[in-house]
Amino acid sequence: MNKTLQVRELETEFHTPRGVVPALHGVSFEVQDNEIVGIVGESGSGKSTVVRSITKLLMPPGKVSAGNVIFAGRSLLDLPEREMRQIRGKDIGFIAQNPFSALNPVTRIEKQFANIAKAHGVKVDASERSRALQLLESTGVRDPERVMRGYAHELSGGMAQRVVIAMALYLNPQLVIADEPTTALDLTVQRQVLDTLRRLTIESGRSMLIVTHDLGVVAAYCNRVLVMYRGNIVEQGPVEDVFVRPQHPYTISLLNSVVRPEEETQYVPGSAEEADTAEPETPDSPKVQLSEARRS
Amino acid sequence: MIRYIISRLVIAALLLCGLITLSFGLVSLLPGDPAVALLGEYATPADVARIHSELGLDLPFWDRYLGYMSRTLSGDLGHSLFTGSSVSSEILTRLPNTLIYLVPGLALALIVGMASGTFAAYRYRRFADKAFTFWISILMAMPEFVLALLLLFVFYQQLRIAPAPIGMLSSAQITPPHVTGSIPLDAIIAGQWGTFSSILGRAVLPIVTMGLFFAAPFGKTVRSGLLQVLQSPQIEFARACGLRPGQVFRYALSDIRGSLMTYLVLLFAASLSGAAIVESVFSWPGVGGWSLDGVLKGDVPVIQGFVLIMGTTSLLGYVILDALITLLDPRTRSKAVAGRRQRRLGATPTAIS
Repeated sequence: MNKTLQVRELETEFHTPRGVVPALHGVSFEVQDNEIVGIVGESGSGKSTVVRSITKLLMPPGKVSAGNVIFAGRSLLDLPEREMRQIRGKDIGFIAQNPFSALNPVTRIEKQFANIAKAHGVKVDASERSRALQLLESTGVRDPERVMRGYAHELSGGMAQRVVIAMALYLNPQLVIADEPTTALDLTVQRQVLDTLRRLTIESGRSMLIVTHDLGVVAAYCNRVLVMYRGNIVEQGPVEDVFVRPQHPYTISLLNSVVRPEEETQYVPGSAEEADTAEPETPDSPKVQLSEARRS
Repeated sequence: MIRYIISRLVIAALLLCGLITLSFGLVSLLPGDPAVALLGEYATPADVARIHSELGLDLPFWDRYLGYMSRTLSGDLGHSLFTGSSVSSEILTRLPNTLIYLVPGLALALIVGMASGTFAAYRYRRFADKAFTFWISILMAMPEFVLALLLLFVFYQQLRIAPAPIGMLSSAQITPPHVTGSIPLDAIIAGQWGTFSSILGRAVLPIVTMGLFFAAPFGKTVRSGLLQVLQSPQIEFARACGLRPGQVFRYALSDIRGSLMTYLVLLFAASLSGAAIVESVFSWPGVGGWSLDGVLKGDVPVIQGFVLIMGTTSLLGYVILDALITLLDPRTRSKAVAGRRQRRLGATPTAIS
């Protein structure tokens, strides 16, 4: 199997007035062809920083200080912004967390599709437009013609996120990066959107890297999982292995915070809703065990 | 949409009546008796009474108020207590003189502020941004007359490339034949391009003064607005879609254009009052210097006229701004247009679920 994306020893830091704060301490992983990889971890663990470092969307004061990102045989970190821009949207699609803050509120949807095409030198004509319409339809948008002529605020959250997905897939990227794609949506809609996303990814032989704090999403939709904690990948492997036989104390604590051992069946596909309830930390919580494990 | 604009205009008309009432109230609010201001401290009671009846001050309140209202609405703003000239015609001849440097000045402020603010935002925390912030602070700490005098010192006194600050025309130029009463307009009508370009030449320093003075706060607004929006998820998504830098900038601009337009109208309203100072420095025969003179003398009709013209212009600016912002943004536009329709037909909202 070929590797779509290879990340080697990626280090990112934030230059704040109080000094340099490291955010990633040498993160390495890869995404194979036609594979869905999930990144899980708590807030601030560096999930989103990984994604932004790969796509070079990191805003100052963030800065990638070391490492290597190989995508389709090219080293992304060495590319000038001009070439990186052509990769974004065309070869790597990006799905934002909240569709309403991601879509342009004052530009018609069809114009936003046309802008993406124009940015990548694709001629905007009737066939391009009908391709966008088909894509909207395949993401499950009802009445795509009307949506195309309208604005983002006229849509429901689920529909808007489908539009975002259609824009990310518009130019047929090999790799789709989704940053918490369903966090802003209702539970019932989350499932539908994720199902759509999986279908569109796997059917066209794409790969997807999906960032989430929802273990249920990982269990139901991913082939492999990376567990992040404090800027490190503490564990990675096939979802079944990591979830059934977690090795690292943090992974164990993360899993324990969601389910009790006898309720393993919660991880079968379809129970994405219940996975998001975290219990408050107690003195003998697994996190404390983790810090003890690290000390020893 | 037409209904929406009409509703704005009705509100504007009501505000205008309020403004006229306020301007009428000025007479009673201002300290001192206009008759005393006119005749001096040692006027006899008989003289004061005569002036009172001449000015209509001895009439009952409602008679004075309604009379003032109807006269103002028909365009008669009264006569100066001192020169006896008609306030409306003074304003009509002087307003073009003010606008001839004010509008280009604000346009300059728009261009300079926009360019420098954008540049600073894209170079956030780098040298160019720090240099910009430094100069902006200096410019913003400087009153406009200091800026005007500084420019005069450099370009008139030292470099000798700017004309002397003695008004719009030098004595060597022929005054164009009287048509409208406004010298720049008459010069255009008479085809005296030499005179007109000389006026423009003399307007350069006032334009630069206004331009720099208002470029500073405008540039600062552009910078902070852009900084915020460039960090937003919307711009991140636009960049993640691979949009060109120019397209990303347009997206960012469309997000902050409402606040920028609002600020520009605020600056325009402020510049009308700032005009008084600049016109005094350059001996410019506009409305600003004239009204300042009126204020110092206690010339009530002149003050009232100036308040009205400033208030009306700002009011007009705000009405146009309000309509533009509402109609440019599809979110408020559909509400402004469809909301009215719904109320009339009792229809349900037509959003796609």
